[in-house]
Amino acid sequence: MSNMLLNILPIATDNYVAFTFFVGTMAMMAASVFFFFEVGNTDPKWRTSVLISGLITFIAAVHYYYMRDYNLATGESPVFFRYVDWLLTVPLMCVEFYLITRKAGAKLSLLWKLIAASVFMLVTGYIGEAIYPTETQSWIWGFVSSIGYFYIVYLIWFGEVAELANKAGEAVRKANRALAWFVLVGWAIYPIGYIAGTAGGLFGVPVLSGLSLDVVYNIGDAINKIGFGLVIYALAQSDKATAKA
Amino acid sequence: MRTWLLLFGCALLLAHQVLRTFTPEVQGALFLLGIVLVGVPHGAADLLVSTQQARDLGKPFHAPWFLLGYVGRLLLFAAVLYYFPVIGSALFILFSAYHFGETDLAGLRTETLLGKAVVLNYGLVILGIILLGHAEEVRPILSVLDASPEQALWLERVIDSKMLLLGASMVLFFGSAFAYFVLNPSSRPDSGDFIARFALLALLMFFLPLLLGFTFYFIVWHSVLSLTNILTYLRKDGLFSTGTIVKRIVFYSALALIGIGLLAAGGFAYLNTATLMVSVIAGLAMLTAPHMGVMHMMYLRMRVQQFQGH
Repeated sequence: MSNMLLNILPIATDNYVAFTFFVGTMAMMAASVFFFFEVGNTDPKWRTSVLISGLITFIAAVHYYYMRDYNLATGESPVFFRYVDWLLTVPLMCVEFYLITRKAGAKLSLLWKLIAASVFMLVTGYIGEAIYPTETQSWIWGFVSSIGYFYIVYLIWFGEVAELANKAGEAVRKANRALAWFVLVGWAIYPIGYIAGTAGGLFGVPVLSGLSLDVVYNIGDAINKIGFGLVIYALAQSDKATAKA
Repeated sequence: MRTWLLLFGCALLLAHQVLRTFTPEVQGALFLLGIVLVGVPHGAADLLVSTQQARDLGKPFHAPWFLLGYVGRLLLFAAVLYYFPVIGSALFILFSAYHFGETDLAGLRTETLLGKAVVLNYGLVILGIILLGHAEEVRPILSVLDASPEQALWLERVIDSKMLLLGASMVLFFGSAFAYFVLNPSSRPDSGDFIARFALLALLMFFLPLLLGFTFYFIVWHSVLSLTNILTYLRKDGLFSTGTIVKRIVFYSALALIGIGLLAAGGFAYLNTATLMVSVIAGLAMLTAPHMGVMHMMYLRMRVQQFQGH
């Protein structure tokens, strides 16, 4: 009765999908509080970056809270809400690259390129995962989505972002390299999860049988979003320490 | 140029999907028109390209020797196709994939083994999308070529494994491209726009029907880009003027078209449709080997000059 009054849906002890949604919500909320409070403790030139890190985890926390409820109520994967979350947070992560390289002369065109590539990657991924999940269709949409991902990887590792980061000083170069690893390895969870979870499995091999795609995405999200923010925070703090010294 | 070609492809897709579906007859007519206007001319420049190559290397050029070598390679490949059809077909796919990749990625330094792997994997993705992305349309064409039960079984196995093949080509391309860019810092295009173009190209080829997609890629994209590269190469040190190049290409194309016309007329008179189709595809495969060799040497020379210039 009290459950109904409070509208709380119980989580079964073996429901690790809902469990990871719950842990994800709490981790994202905690990270948001940390980043928001630390904005005042950061050098003014890095405040926007740390604030955006907080926004990323905060948007994710709200979505995770909703997705946990959705998953418990329906037993289905909240694909739509997950993509809404990504559509808001992934371009913001790309904004971070622009912000850290702005000092070295990054132009607005770079920002728009990164945002366009991330939106392209997500929209095409959504089409393949939710609208046309048949075998060949999901492959082609997944493939072009991966090209969007590869474009971002290219810009960050070898293209304009890498060049600007190298010019911006040692701290920015190191931070960019750490973020680039997040994008290369951490973000790779999404295309791998996508091809493993959509029709046909991983190139026709059903590797995810018994394991929910949501668990893969939830763990990946927590590592990527919070880790990404922490790298930015560490950059801001190291810059502050260098300035003091 | 590439952007305009892609816009043309988008217009083609839009026309096919929204305005009016192109019937197979219209698609066939567009393909033939493209072959006559651009496909044959891009191959007909091989003699001119070889002349320029000899000049670049400071060697004398003898047209009869060139023609002998060209026809020799053509016949050698024909023999492989005839006596070892599976090996011949696999080589045809690999040659075509490499040739397509080399044209599209002409700006990259691809002399290294890894560079060659990127080029080949790129071409394999392209061919994978065209052929495996339209597996149901490819099936009847291949059954016309060879209707034996062994062939049908082999075809079924390939189609059953299409996700694996497409997935493998995708992983190989992204993996080799990343490794290539890590190891070749001097060969990174300033922007990553070529990656963005690849995305659009993949979507176009998948959503256009087989013949129209092949026409778009082979005629509109590949042949036009090849011709542009050929013109740049031939004009680079003034041995040929634009007028001379155009006149010669038109002349050699006319000769080639007359030859094809005579063969086709003979074919229509004495061969049934299936045998004629086999002959057309085999002819195309045979031409790939010497043409690819000439173009490969041209791109090699262009890269050498480009990077020496830097």
